[in-house]
Amino acid sequence: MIDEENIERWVKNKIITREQAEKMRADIAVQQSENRSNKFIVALSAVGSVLLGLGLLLLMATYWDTIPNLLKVFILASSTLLTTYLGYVFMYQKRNLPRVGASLIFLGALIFGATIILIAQIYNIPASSHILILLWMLGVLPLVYILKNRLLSGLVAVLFFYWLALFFSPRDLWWFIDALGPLSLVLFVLGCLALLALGGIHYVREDLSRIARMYRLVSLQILMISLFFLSFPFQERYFTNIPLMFSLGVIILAAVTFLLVSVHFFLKNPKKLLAAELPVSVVLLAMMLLFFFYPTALELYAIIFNVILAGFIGILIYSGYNQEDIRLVNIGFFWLFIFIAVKYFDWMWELLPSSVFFIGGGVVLLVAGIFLERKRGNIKKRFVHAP
Amino acid sequence: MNKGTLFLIVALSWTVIIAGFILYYQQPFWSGQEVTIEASFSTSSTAQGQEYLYLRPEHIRGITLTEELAPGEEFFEGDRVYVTLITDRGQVIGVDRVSKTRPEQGEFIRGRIFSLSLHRATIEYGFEQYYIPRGQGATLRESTQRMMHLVVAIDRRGQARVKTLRFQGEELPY
Repeated sequence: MIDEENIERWVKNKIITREQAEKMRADIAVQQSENRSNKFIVALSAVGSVLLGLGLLLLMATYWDTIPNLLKVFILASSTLLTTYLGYVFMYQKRNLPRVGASLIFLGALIFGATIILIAQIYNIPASSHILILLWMLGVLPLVYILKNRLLSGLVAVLFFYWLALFFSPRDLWWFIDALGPLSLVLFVLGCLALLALGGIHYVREDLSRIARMYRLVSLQILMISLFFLSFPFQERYFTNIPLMFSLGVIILAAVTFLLVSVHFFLKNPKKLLAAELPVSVVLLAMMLLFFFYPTALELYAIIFNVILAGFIGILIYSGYNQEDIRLVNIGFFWLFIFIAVKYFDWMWELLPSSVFFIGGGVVLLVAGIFLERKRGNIKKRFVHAP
Repeated sequence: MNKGTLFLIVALSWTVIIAGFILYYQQPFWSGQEVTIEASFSTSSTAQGQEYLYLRPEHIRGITLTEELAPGEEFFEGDRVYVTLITDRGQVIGVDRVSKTRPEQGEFIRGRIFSLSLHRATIEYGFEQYYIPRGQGATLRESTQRMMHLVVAIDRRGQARVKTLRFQGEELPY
């Protein structure tokens, strides 16, 4: 984006006249105001859609006991279809309220999921059944590719990870995280690498780049969370009596991930990819398999994962800087701050007297905060907005 | 293909998914075989305040996986299992066999190993959560002393759904 600094330089170098500079400033101001207004409309209609959906579901829940089953199904299914249809009319037929239309379609996708879960409740099926999430995801997927909508892509990406957890859990999401511990994180890391590569493959077609970016941003966030938790030492008990289905799942998911990473590699579409993405994916994949099948020196693994996490944060910041992508830089700096803060408490608590620990901690966090804020601010100023 | 047609296809596929979903879970009620299982229960609520019974069917929930009951098989938590039932006049009175492969004969029910401690397995069948009208849990607990009979419909793949709840031969109105 052209900024004041550029305009002043061009005037000074006599590339443009003072009048042209004024005209450019006025145009930029109008453009910025329009962008802000658009963002406000999107935010307003998205919040409105969510509130409307919540309200409808709460209304249904209030009268749930008194409504006959057939009527419940009819109300839910018809509101799903009606909301999506209204979104379609606003967005494509009348074309007068495209952003509100997109939000209504998103609301339709949410109500579709709620419909499936509430019908499951009629049949006394636990809401933690992975089939419900799979059906929801499969239902929303065609809309993602028809509309190339970021919100819907994000919803599908989140549903994918939720489904993955429920599929491998005999109970619910909490059991998956609590009872499986590091094993669930292995599965999440593999899922993230697969979705990251799949997102990269989407860049082959320019019109899919919004979907690609959303898949990749969601994967990156979940990957960072998983790597962060893997950087702590785990107890051995997690690695005894691993369900066979889980081991098979890890092997199959690793094979799919490897396939996607390979396809991604051979497509050679480096324009929007992270610089070191392919080697990093392969190294992470290998590490996950090694950790899963040979969990012998758990302390050593914790050290290795700390190094990997720190390296990955560095790669994110470097790649974000290189590609002028503020989102990547933000993710990198956010995790750098978390990493420094948490590891300071984790490693220094027993080594230092409490007063020195807190004084040192305060100084480290303040210095880190000032450094990160300044660095991020400088980078942000230079960047063109990423797609 | 224009956007209108694509949307129509999505709307149709959503309708198919919802209808298919209903048909799949409705199937045991239409074509399934009925058995009665004695069950204890507790009451609980979802985060949205919906009240439900947590059913624990007697004889088939906690099973010790002895060599006699499950010859040559190794089990893990999360495994899908088929439990062949011993019935007396339509009432489940015990378990004949537990296997990871679907039996070719006999009345069987499909479940999943919820937890496994030594050889003692807790198996869930997907019908444990049974929604009831709000505020009915306490009344039900007092009047039944936490025991009732479940009339369960089981289809030919072993999928089971609770058809009705009974207490002392009377059908409960849920």
